[in-house]
Amino acid sequence: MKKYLLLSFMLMFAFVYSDTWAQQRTISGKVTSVEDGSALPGVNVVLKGSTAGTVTDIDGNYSLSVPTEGGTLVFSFIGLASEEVEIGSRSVVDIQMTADVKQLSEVVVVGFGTQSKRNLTSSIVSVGSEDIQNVSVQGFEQAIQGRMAGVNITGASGTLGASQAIRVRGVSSINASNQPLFVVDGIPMTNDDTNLGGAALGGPGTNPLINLNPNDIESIEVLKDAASAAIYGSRGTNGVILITTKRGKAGKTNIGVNYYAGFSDPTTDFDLLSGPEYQRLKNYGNFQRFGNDYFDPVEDDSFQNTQDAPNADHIDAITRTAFVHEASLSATGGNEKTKFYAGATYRDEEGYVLTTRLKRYSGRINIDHALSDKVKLEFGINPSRTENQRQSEDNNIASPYTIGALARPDIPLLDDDGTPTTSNLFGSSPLADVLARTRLLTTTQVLSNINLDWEVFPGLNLRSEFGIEYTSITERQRLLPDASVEAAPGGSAFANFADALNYNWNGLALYYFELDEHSFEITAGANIQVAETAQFDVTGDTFASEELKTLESAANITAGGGIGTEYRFVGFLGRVNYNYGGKYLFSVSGRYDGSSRFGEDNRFGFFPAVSGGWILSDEAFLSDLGGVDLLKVRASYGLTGNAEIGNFASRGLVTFGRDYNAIPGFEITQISNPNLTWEETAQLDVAVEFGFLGRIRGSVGWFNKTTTELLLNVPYDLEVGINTTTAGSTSTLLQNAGELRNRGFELELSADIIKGNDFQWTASLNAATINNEVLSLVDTDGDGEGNEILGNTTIIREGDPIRAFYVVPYAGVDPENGDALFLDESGEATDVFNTANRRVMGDAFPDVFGGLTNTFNYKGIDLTAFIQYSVGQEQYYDDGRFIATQLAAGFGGNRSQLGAWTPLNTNTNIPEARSASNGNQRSSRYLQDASYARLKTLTLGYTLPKKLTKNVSVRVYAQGQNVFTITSDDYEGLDPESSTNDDDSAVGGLTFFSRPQSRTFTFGVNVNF
Amino acid sequence: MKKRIYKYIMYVPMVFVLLSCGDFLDLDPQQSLSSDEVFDTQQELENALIGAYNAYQDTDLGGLNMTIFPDLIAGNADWAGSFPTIVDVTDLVPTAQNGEVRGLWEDGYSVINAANTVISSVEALDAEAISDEDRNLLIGDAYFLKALVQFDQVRYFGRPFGSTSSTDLGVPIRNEAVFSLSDYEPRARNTVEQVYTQIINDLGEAINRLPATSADGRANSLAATAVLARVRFQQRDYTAAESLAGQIIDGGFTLNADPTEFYSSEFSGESIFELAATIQDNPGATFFTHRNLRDGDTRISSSLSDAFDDIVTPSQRAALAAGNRTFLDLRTRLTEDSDGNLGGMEHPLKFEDFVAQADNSYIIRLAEFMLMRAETLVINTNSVNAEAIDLLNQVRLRALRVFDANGDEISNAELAFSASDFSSPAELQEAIILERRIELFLEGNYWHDLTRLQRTIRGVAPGTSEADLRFIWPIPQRALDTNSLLEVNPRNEG
Repeated sequence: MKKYLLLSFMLMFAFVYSDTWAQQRTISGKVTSVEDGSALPGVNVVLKGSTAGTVTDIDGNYSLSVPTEGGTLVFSFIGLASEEVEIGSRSVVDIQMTADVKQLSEVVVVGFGTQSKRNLTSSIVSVGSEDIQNVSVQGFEQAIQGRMAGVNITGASGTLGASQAIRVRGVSSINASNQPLFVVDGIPMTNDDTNLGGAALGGPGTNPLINLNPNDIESIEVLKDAASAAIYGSRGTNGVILITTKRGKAGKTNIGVNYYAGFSDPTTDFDLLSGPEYQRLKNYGNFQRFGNDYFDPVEDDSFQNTQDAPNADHIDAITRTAFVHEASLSATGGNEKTKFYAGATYRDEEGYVLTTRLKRYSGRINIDHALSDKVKLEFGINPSRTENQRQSEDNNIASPYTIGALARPDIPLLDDDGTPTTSNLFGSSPLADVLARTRLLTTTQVLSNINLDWEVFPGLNLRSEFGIEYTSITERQRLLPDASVEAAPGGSAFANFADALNYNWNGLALYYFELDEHSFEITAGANIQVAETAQFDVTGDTFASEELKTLESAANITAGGGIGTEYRFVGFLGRVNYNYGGKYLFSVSGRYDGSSRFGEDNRFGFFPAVSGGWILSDEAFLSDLGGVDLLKVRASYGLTGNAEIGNFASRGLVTFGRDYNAIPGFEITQISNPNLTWEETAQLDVAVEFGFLGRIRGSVGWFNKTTTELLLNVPYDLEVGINTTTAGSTSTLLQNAGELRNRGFELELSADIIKGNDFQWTASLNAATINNEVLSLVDTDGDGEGNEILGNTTIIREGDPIRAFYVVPYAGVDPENGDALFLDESGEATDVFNTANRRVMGDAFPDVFGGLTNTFNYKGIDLTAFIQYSVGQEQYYDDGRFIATQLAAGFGGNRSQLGAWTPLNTNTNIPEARSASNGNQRSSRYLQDASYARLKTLTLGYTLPKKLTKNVSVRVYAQGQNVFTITSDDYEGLDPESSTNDDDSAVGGLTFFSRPQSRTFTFGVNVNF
Repeated sequence: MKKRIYKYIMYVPMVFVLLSCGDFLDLDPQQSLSSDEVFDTQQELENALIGAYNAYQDTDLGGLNMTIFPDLIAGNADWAGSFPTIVDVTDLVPTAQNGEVRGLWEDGYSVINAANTVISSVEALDAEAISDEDRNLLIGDAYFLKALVQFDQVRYFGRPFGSTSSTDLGVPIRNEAVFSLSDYEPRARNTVEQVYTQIINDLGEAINRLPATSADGRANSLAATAVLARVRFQQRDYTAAESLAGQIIDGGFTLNADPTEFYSSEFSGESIFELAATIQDNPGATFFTHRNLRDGDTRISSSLSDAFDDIVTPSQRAALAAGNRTFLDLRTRLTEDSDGNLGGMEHPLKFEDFVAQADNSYIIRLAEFMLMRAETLVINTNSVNAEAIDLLNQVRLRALRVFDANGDEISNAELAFSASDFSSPAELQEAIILERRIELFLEGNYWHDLTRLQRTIRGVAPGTSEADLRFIWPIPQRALDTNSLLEVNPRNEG
């Protein structure tokens, strides 16, 4: 009896429990793409109204048990329009799916998550892998230059691996770094170019992110406004650059093989005096200075037979046409459970300066694996190594490019014995020098992350993300006796080692739920970061032979030292994204952030942000109007901070190593400031995003960033007698003491101008303006106005942009006597430099900057042209104080100096040559309009027809980088983008023999199968 | 089961953070110590004093400039290098932005403050914490360094000492230790007279506290006495200078047999004080004084070269020539020409250690005070003083050598002076002044001598507004920018 009861209960239970128990059928089918009929794996197939569902396999096939009668299948996949199909009486349901215009482009990566672009209420720009890979640049920053409105990336130098200054919406700090925060797969990178950039060689320094392989990058997002960046709390003011690497997809394994090779030259070259020209001009100058007393034609000081003078082109001797090639391999694939991406790249690029060269070896594996149907594992590891053969640059007397311009052109390159002469400059010559120095910087880096994602129940995910960045550098230098100012027998050597271990953990809870039309996405979590750096170096000299390379053979160890440092961050974050009906959007976030960098009393700060949006195009009155795909308005406001100062800036410190006669000594090097706190920026952002006619898309926006608690090195009296060790300024105390503001407009516009079957043309434009103004500075001299912070050519003062150029106005030449003339404050011309007065005469901020891309496709041919432009900025050509001086000193000079004033040539802007100072002081003579437009990338490619290549896609292409540049008429410098300043500094815009960028032409092939 | 492990893995770091939030962010620097903890023990204060010595060794101070600038300014040496700041100093046109000018001011005050911190901290130590001897050593050394800096500052930024010194502006005197900005108050420039008084006071402290001998490179009472002698000499207080110079001469020093020996060795018998440089620890100054492969920045001027010719009088020359004898001033071997020949009178060789850069600088040595005493005796007695002639001869004869017709060295007695060589005290004084110029070239002397003697320098007469413009440095612009109490010098206004 019991047995039967049980059985019937079981049957009933089964009957009730599973409506598929008795009357089931199996439906199967294939899902393909409507574009080209290819199979679509990974598509969700769900029986509407039930939990029954499956996913299509690699070939797009699925099979599902459904009730015998009725039922509707729902097919969905991200990026494709969902389809609902009634099963009817069929047993096979095939379907074709199309792209969803609404969802197209994208899911955008945001801080600690992703969001659909449509629902974004903050200002984020994005560049995808197609623009980043296979472009012949050393680092990813160069690939994204000019492509994002408001993001100004300037190539400081043509040196391989040179740091790039990235400025998102202007410059917000004077003393803290202005570089944005770089986050790679969730790990904020250390980006410490002081310790990890190798020894300073006189120029802007190298870029520790050079190891990152652009070919591994899936997308780069730049978080521009407070709403997007506030979640990074105290580090979000300068913008956040999120780099996401490629991950696998379920389906057939795709293999890509890419190779390109080419050559490069500098974009511009010096135009220097020849040997005879040099001697003639020098004779003239010497005669002016010494007159008949000293100018005895028989003496060595004057030149005879100048037309027979030797003519040496030193720049030519130390530069070459450089060769570059890169080979890379990638594979992606997987199934529903496991997906992988693997990539490896080898790059070998010569620099146009002799002996310089950069090689990079990089490999990456990213794996996504479903440990169970609730828990996913994401793993990635990226070991890489770059070997950078360097030479000194810019403001360093050992810089070949610098002394190549300074060396006398009338001294032959080679001595009689055929070896490079050592009697030109500083005991050497540019050619001898560059061959006598080897300097190799090897950077080894491993990035790795391991994440766990647990779907507690649908809608709630808990994530643990743990990432490590390990970067180490080894640097070796060997100088042989022929190098300039090298006197030790056998030469000298130097070795430097530094490493940084940076580990980061994010613990997040993400909760998504819907209530009717309301949908909520809540994120909460914590973040810890620890970064430790250690460094040591040794210098030695006196070697028995030039062939001995390592310090082991040095007879004298002359210097050595090492440092260690560390910083930590802790943060708690939360965010709520809400939308009503997908039309009304609202978001609020907050981060409570603390760091070891700030004084005990002010360690933590709170950074909130709020934003909202309204998708007007979904409203009835607009959605009925044809042609409007998207019209959205959004606004955001929030607070971010800037924590990029030294690790112990608030403490009163003494530093040792101030030794005397082998006894240790110390000095007070930092005065304490227990009140030291964050620089805080409040940013307001409003924008309209639009899309029309399925062809035109874009956005227009305005932002206003006000930075308060500006960290200033406030000068105190020199008589205080405490020399701080802050680079570039002594006798200053770091205080929060100022305010500045950046505001501007941003425009992004792209259009599918022609969308034919065979021929397509799309164009996209971005433009941004920046208005930077210092609002207030501290007043320590009691004159009622904020202090002015003077640099050699710049000023920081209230009412002007940061580091506006503040120089004595140059007023040309007195036609009567060839004197250089300057203006005093009343506008009177004077020939005495010390009585002239400085005034603001321009700044390094552009009025408008951005880029224009045009892409053409005709059958298998593709052509892309990308122009980057920047208009309205000035640049200070500091080289001029040495080579545009009418040969005031013994150095070589520009050919333009031949236009110097003479009694027969009185109508000129170049003063008379006098072998003495005449107009070579820091004046506006060397201040130039550096507006430019540059054809940055030109690519012509051809994809072989499918008929020929079957399942393999083969594309061949030719590409030019920095193909040509238009500059303003009065621009005398080499490269309007260059700057000798560090990438952290407030503003660039000053060159000192900075190397111009390279113009590169490459030919390559992409094969995918 | 697996899920639970994941959960725990995820939350472990979070717990760690929550438990130790505050301490977690408490880090200490690894290369520095907190400044309010290091002025408390004798050992620490010795380190602080060493830091002051190290600061004085900066190229802007005793490391280079104070040694070579007086010769560049007064025409004993030429500057052939490229550093525009030094070019301007040599051309007598430094602007208020000049880095060397700022260095003397700013780095000078660093030394002064470091010394003040030592003095005030040592004075605050209990009697048990430090012996009297060590206490005096620390304080004495500190006062010595203060005096050295102020003496140079007042001579570069103020008018030469003279009748108007009670109103002429010097530099601000600072006697308070500054550890943080709350300890500091700005001050206007003190008068030249006040600064000299302070210097003399500081040297007095040093003389009283320091023992007569000290470790190499460190001050002692004789070194302080020597500096005091220089100060009095500069003030034209020849009575005091005579007596002080006499104390130095009796101080147990002996002239080296060969004048070049001083520079090829360290702390020789003639040495009263030298700033010690080692291979690992030096200001890198030899870069500027050595011929250094780019043909040398510092060059012997033709004027100095000519002066060397006058070291032997015409009558002495005639006597030598008559006997087919030749002479050599060994001091010419402290120069070479561009081909490396000794005596070439183009490039100086006093600071030659280009490889290790371990040459000592800021030299105080016996010969100077022998000549000082000689000159003061002549002035004070207004006679052709015998002791003066004797001192002059000692310095002179150790440098001069006479060779016979075969080139063998013979006695140089004929080159000694006697009273009959001088028809007036003034002539004897001129001979001593010439000897000073030759003996002490590139040792921080010549310009100060000419100023003391109130002579025309490079065509500019003393006591004129032209002299004010040429020979008084501008107050550094950076100092003027923050301290409105400072008054400018003529050079500031062009």
